[in-house]
This record gives sequence, C-alpha cells and structure tokens, in this order.
Amino acid sequence: MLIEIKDLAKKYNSRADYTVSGISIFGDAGEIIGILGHNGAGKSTTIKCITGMHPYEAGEVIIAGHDLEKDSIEAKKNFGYIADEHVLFERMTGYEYINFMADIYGVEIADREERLARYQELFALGDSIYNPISSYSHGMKQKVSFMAALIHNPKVLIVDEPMVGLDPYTANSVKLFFKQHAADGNLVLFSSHNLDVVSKLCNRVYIIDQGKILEEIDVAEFKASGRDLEEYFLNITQRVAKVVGAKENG
Amino acid sequence: MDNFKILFKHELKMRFPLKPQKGKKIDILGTLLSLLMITLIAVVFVKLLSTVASNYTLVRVNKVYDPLMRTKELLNVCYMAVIIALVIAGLENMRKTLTDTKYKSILLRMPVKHQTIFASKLATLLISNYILAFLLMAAVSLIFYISVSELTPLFWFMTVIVWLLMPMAAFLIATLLLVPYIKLVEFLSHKYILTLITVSAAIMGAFLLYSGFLSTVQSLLETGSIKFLFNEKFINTMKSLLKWAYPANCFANIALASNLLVSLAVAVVIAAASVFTLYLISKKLFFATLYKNDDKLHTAKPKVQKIKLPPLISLMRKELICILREPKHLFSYFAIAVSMPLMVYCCYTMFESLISTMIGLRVTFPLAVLIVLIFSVLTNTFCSNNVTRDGAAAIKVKMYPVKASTILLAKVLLCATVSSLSIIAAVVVLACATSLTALDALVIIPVAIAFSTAQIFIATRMDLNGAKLSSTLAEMKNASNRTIAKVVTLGLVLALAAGIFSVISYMLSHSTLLSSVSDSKLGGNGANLIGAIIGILAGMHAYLVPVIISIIYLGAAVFYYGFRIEKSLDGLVI
Repeated sequence: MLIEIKDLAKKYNSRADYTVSGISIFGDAGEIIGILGHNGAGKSTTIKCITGMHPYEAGEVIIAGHDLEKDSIEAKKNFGYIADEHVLFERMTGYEYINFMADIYGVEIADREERLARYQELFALGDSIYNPISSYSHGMKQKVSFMAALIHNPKVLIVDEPMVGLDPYTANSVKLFFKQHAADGNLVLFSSHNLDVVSKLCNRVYIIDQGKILEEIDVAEFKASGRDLEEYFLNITQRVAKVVGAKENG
Repeated sequence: MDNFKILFKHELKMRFPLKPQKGKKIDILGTLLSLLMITLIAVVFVKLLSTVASNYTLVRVNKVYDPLMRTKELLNVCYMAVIIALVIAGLENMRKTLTDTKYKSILLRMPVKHQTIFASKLATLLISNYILAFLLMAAVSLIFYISVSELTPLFWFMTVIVWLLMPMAAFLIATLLLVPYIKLVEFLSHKYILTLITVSAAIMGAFLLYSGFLSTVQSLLETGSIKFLFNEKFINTMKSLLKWAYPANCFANIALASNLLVSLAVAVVIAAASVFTLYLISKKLFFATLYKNDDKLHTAKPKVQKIKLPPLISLMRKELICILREPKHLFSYFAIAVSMPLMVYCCYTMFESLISTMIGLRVTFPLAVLIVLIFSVLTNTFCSNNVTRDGAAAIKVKMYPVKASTILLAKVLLCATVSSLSIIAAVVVLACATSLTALDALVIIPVAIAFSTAQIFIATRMDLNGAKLSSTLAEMKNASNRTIAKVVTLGLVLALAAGIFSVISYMLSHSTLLSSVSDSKLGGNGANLIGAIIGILAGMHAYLVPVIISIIYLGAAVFYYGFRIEKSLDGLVI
C-alpha cells in the first residue's frame, strides 16, 4: 500500500465537534484515487492532515510504509503536494523556487534538470520560469506548484482541486500526466468537486460529506452497472443532509 | 452611497480592528510592554519640548519680552514636524492604495465605480491621518498651554481648526509628491543591491545629521553655553527661516489668532486644492493604475543552479532572497545592519567624551559593550517576525521532509550571520578609530555575537508562540508589535545589565590594578611580578561580567527556543 489512512479524526480548536472523523482511505501503486465532496465537506481538511500541515486528534496516516507521526520525515519524502491556494515564496523566481524544493527533497542536479526540462515542456511555462513568482498569473502559479511538487518524483502525489485555474490545454496535459504517473507505479490522490474529472480519471472514488466518508466506489464497476455518478453523488449527499437536518431539528 | 458605506465600513474594520477574534488569548504582557515603551517615548518627548518651550519663550528680542511671538515660532517648528510625519504616512499609504494588486483584483470584479473604491480607501486614510494629527497636536498643544501662561482657552478652539485643516494640507503635499515617489519605488523595485545601498546611505546620512545635532548639544552642555543658545541671534535666524515654512506658519498664525483672516484663507485654499488634487488622482491616476498591468515582467538573467545544496543551506538562501527582494524587509533589517557600525561609532565617541568630561575616567570597554549590545538588540528587532512574516507559507513548510527545528534554525542562522558580520564590522571600526584596545575588541566580538544570537533565538521562538496567522493584517501587526515590545525590552534590560555591571567591574578592577601596582613598587622583584599578575587578573575581571551574562543568556535562549519546538510548529495552523 502506498497510502493507508485509518480512522482519521480532526477538530479545530474553536469548534466542539469533529470537522472530519472516521476517515479511512487506502491506495496502492498504479491507482488514481479521488475524494469527492461539495464545498465544506471536509476534503481539504483531510488532505491537510495527510500532508502534515494540520495536526489530527485520532487515526493513522501511513505513506509508503512510513507513519506520518512516528516517522514523519520519511513519510513526507514520499509525497508531493499541490494546494488549491498557491502559497509560494513570491519573491523567488519560478526556477529558484523549484530548485529550492529540489534541494529540500535532496534531488540530484542531473535528475532535477531532466525533470525540469520535461515539466517545462508539459506545462508550457517557457522562459517565464526565470521571472519572479509575484509576476505570475493564477494559472502560472498553479503550474509552478505542480513542477515543484513533482521535482522529486514522489510515489504519492496529493492534489487539492487540481484543475482550478488551468487552461484547457494544460488541464488535459495534467490528466495525461496523472495517468502516466500512476502507470509508472505511483499513486495519485486528489480532491475535487468536479464530477466529470473524477469519473474520467479515477479508479476509485471516496465520497465525503459532513466530514465523513459516505461511500467508496470502484469507478469501473460503477460505470459497468450503468449508473450515473453525478446523479448518485447528488442523491447520496442530499440524503445525508436530510438525515442530519432532521436530527438537528429534533 | 450604499456601496461607499459598505466599502468604507470594511476598510475601517481592516485598519482599526477593535474586537479581538473569538477564542484568541489576549497578550497582557506584550500589550503592557508596548504601552510602557510608548509612554517612555512620550515622557522623553514631553520633557524635552516643555524644557525648550519654557526657556525659549523667556528670550527677549530687542529687549522686548514677547512670549506669544516665541510660542508662534516654536509652534511653527512643531507643526512642520507634524506635517512631515503626516506627509510620510500619507505618501506611503496612498502608494499602497494605488498599487495593491491583490486587493485591487478583488475590487475590480465588484459592480462598484472605481471612484467609490478610491473614496472609501481615501476616507480611511484621512481618518488615520486625523488620528495621528490629533495625537501629535494634542501633546504639543498641551505642553505649550502649560508652559506658556499667556495662552488663553481660545488657543484650544483655534487648535481644533488647525487640526481640521492640517491633514488636508499634508495630503496635498503627499499627492504632489506621489507620482515621483511611485516612479522611484518602481525604479528601485528589482534593483535590490542599489536599493540596499540607497537606503543604507539614507539611514547613515540621517544618523550622521542626528549625531551631529547631539554632538552640538553635548558640546553646548560641556562648555555651559547651552544657557545662551536661545539668544537674540538664534531667534532672528529662526524667524528668517520660518518665514518660508509654508504651510506650517499659516497654521501657527491660526492657532494664536494672529494675522488670522489671511492665514485662514490660505489654509482653506490649501484644503480646497487638496480636495481637487485628490479628485484628479481618483479620476486619472487611480483609474490608470487599476487597469495597469502591475505584474510587469522582470526578466532576470537565468542563473543555473549547478550544485545540490543541503536543506539547511537552501532554506537560508531562500530566506536571504525573500528578505533582500522585499523592500520593507530590506529596510528594516539589512539596511539597519549595514548602517550599524557607523551608528555604534557615533554613539561611542559621543558618550566616551561625555563620560570622560563628567567623571574624568575613560570608560572604554564597558561603554563599547553596552553600545554594541543595544544596537544589536535594535537591529534584531526584525527577527521578532521570523515566522509570521511568511504568512500562510509558514504553514506550508510543515510538509517539507525536514525537521521543524531545521526550518527555524535556517532563519536564526541567517539572522545570526547578518548580525555577527555587523557586530564584527562595528567593533573593528571602534578598535581602529577609537581608544578601544585590540584585546577589548577580541572580547567584545564573541560576547556581542553570543548575546545577539540569543536575542534572535528568543525572538524567533516568541514569534512562533504568538503567531496569529489566521487574523487580519492589522491584528497580525498588533501581535507582531507586542512580540517586538517583549523581545526588545528583554534585550535592552539585559544589555543595560551587562553594561552597568561591566562598568562597576571595570571601576573595581581599575582600583585593584592601581593598588596592586603601588604595592608592588614597595616590594622587590617578586612583589613586582605578583603585582603585575594581580593587575592582569583584575583587568580580566572586567571582562567577566559581560562574558557570563552573554553565555547564560545564550544557554537560556537555546533552551527556550528548543523546548518542544517540533510540537509548537506542528500546532501552528491557519
């Protein structure tokens, strides 16, 4: 298993109840896994816990066999993360930032040059990479975030809302890249509320709502059964909303 | 109008957040220390101005005693200072308003006229300038009212009118300077080294002027001629200079109701002109900058990285780039660090001469320790936002496969390197250009480096503990100011302790040295040798106090910094 998340629970200081709880996600090499949910469902919180950006109250996160709490450095070496908000060191140039990330992950010069050239072509960034990040558009920042997260060729690629801000050409390149990355024996885990992207890319999907996993779906089997993912997702999340609403009302 | 109200309310909330966020702890110690520092500065200001006011108004010109005329001259100077402060604040705030791309991009999407956006921002700026003017003018007016018995309650009424008009006049000056100022900032925006040199030269120039002024005051004190400083000749020179001090002289006239109609008319015209130029800016400049592509591409020469750097070095390099390329960081840290040797030299020579005149003893080593430590504390103020200045990026570093202690250590090491270089340069200058001995210098350098590094460790950890990354900018600024107050107070108290105890130790060792030398002269060769050894030991004794204080401080700081640091960074969230 490249990723094992068991009964993850997280609550924020200001809130009495858990923001996410009982989250269990498993993924192996070659898979593309989606976490599907609407805004505020708990996708980003889950991802922030998996990446070590937020501490969590209960559960286990194991990445490529390393426990995120007990063996955090080794666990972190094995994933790359692209956030939905591009928090970058804006005074650096794209090139400096990517090299900085390569240094942090200990990537050899020859490897980073080969990957940099490949990703520069994939993301069509050209010489803009030598300009300060502060001068980049949203899409360009997204591309630099991708390149920086991929520079160490991570076994697990974790992405929060991957297609936001990308032009159709780059979005297509990213989809192809995800497939290739998985085919190379890695795992891609991403969160989205874009049902079309999820249904086209993923092998398995976890539907999350109100901070809990509602269902795990094998996309191929689901499609074979002739059901529509969009309809199913809307039904299942509405059903939960009604149950919660009824409980709250009395 | 409704749009204006909504935007204005929002701007006010951003600039003056009165309510703390729910669940946030109030930093009582930090707040108290901030208040204490402000009070100390205010007390010094009040004392100085009241002394000058009471002495100046007594002077007779052509044998005529005219306290109201003297008050007008002094008020003129004070108002000029207030206007300069308001112009500086207004200029930078207006530049930010016009060039803040992030906020602009949000506002541009709103179905609101750009004049409404600008008016809401401007109204907030005006309010903050009125508040600043109120604080400064209230203090100045109160001092004059108490010091000059001839002032009537009418003075207060007229001061209110001055207060209403002065910020408008300052805004007019700021708007006139705005375009060249924006051009200058743009010109320097990617020329980091040139900016560093320019800013450092400006700081050094200002400090040279300031120390020149202090040296004059000192020599006046030493010669006793300070009593005669405010003489007829001085006042006549002041009068001839102040004749040209527009618009401050108009406001001084209004405050004292002299030449009232003309002065009031001029002030009103200035205020009207200010409104007109602000209208022009909103019509032309704000519109132009709103749609201007601020993200002008700066094509830097591609520098290929040829070697793999260890994470710690790479983190330090990243930190260096982020500080060097951010003008406000460059100013508040690098430029101050570059200017420090000159500042230390000026202060040292002045105080050495002053102390030598006052007590007849050349206190070199302890004075050098005290001054170097104080300046290193002030330079390291910047480190009090080592964590929070990264904003949301401070959280992102948590996913790096590097220990939290390493991430923060990179910041500490970079600051310690800058600070150490600055200290070494300052002490070398003292050793070369003053009576400080080479041995003294060799002791001061490690003492000051240890002390300064301890200060950086403490500042970084305090910033981590008090980080409020989810707050508004103003709240983050307040939290940062409280951390700065705590760090600076601690540093200054310890620097003073090291300096004062060092002086005592220095005095004791000198008396021991003198007695041992005189005793040895009475004895034979053996006694001579013993006397010399005692003398050297006594001399070494003077070094002990600052050495011990800095070692203990460094040890305690490293412990404080390292204590559960991984957990502390882990708990840092947005």
